[in-house]
Amino acid sequence: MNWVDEAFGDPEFGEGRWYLNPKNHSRQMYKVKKPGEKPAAFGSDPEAQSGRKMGEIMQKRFTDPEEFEKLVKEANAMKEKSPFQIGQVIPLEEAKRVAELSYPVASMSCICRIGARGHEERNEHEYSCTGLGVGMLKWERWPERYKGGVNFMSPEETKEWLTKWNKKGMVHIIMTFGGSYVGGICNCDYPDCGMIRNRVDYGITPGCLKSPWVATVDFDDCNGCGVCVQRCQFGAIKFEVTTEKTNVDQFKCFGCGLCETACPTEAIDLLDRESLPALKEVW
Amino acid sequence: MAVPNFAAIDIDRSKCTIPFACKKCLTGCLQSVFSVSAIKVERGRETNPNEPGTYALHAPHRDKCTGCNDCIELCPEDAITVTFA
Amino acid sequence: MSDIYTPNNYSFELNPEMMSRLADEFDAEKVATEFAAATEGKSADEVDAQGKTFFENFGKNWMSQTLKLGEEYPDRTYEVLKEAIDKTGHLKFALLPQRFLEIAYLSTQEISILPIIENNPQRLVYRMANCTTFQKLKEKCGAETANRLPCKHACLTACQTVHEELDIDAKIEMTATIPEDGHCQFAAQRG
Ligand code: SF4
Ligand code: SF4
Ligand code: SF4
Ligand code: SF4
Repeated sequence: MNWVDEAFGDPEFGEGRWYLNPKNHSRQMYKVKKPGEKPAAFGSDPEAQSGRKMGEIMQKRFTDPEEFEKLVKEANAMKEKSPFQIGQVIPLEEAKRVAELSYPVASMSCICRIGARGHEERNEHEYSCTGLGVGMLKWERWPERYKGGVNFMSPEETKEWLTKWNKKGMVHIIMTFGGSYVGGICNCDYPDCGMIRNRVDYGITPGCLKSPWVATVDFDDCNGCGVCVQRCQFGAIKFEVTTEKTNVDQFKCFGCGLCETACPTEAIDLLDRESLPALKEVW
Repeated sequence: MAVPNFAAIDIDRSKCTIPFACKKCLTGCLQSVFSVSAIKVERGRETNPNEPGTYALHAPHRDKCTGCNDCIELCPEDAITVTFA
Repeated sequence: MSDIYTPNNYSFELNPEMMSRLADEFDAEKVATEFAAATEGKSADEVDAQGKTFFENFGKNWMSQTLKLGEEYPDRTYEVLKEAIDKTGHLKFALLPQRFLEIAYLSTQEISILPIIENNPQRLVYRMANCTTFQKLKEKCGAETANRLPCKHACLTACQTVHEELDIDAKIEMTATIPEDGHCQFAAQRG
């Protein structure tokens, strides 16, 4: 079991996985302000605060690389007390289970792509991120954060929408927005997704933990087409010229299942990470 | 450990005034070195990307810059300088 | 939406006038005093029987008025919720009863949020910890009567009423009590 499940999971729900614990999807709609209390300022939410803290750490790699290494280690070890956004890669089928549990679900534009590429998503056909929970009812407080609005979806629409982005090649990452509150299912890719980039390039783990699965290839079924190789955002698959088959490095694999959903011969399966002694502690 | 020889990227904000509208370097850099953010945000509205000075361009991933100079060629305002020590 | 660069002036908060109207009408001190007067000198069994009728009645009025005023004083959160319900054909349970329960408790209790433990297509669960009604009952009727929680009938009936009035089939249960757990908890399970 990974530390997020230990801290925030409930064995009674969804095999103890934190993102399937209904309590982590529940929040009040209203908060009564004390007399004279001002409305929250832009950037005072947990997402923005965590982003700024991470930004300060990242800055250190230019000024004090040793300090940077130290701060990264600390951030990775913080666990449930972490002030950082927690995120975990999950395969499509798991993301669909979240769609059944979270109310409401709305698609919206991806904040990472806005920042990294100036990429705008202006309507429901373009939105590539999802916000979860009652906070979405209040998106118009900060249109700059949402840029273009949001589109509320039924559970069935959400599943179709997730499938669409999976087909395009996006990794699903389930994210918290403050504590254990599940705030979004992001559809991510390298390098514009901050969470994937921070993990892959800098070894910062909390925002991009691995999924409870790892990919495996059945050599008898693999025809060597190479489709899966293009799908992997983590550089875990290569085409092996000698065997004319594909090859997964399970130590590098994040268990996103993108290779599995694209393989035309169903040669790829997702194995339970904890069934592999060398990988069961690799999150 | 000495600070590695990363690219120093200078963005002249007096020339790069509407980065979210222009975004040529953002979309053109192979290494995705740049990032843009709104520096003027008001409750209840979007920030106008065509109004000068509302967004700022940064180079948070300059440790990934290879010095290809593509951004310099793409920039219509000559706002970027990339130097290696 | 008109111009995306012109600020909207939406309020996402509950209307203060609505809240003070509910606070005045369903004041905990007032109801506890009335209940104390009505039950003075009566046996525990009589108090229980009377408590049920008295607080069921109170709970029904409390929620009926909440539903009425909650509609009279909309806020942007509610408008967007209604649009989302229309658009998706979902969300009515648990979010519509949740809104009115939040209004009912936030208006009459000294809390800034109503802790929502679960809100999903199957269940709505919420919790009351420092309940003013319970405190006032303790003051006016004594700890013994308060600990028998006559007031639970108000909460249960209010929760029942909001689902009935909104035409939602749900089973209402009390899953924790202040004397035993330090907080009261109510659950609506979709039928
Ligand atoms: S997509 Fe499937 S068949 Fe093609 S190379 Fe990958 S595992 Fe083999
Ligand atoms: S090998 Fe497959 S499951 Fe593993 S990270 Fe790559 S695409 Fe995802
Ligand atoms: S020099 Fe090349 S790698 Fe460096 S920032 Fe410019 S475009 Fe990117
Ligand atoms: S290309 Fe030049 S003007 Fe355009 S955003 Fe980049 S630095 Fe600014």
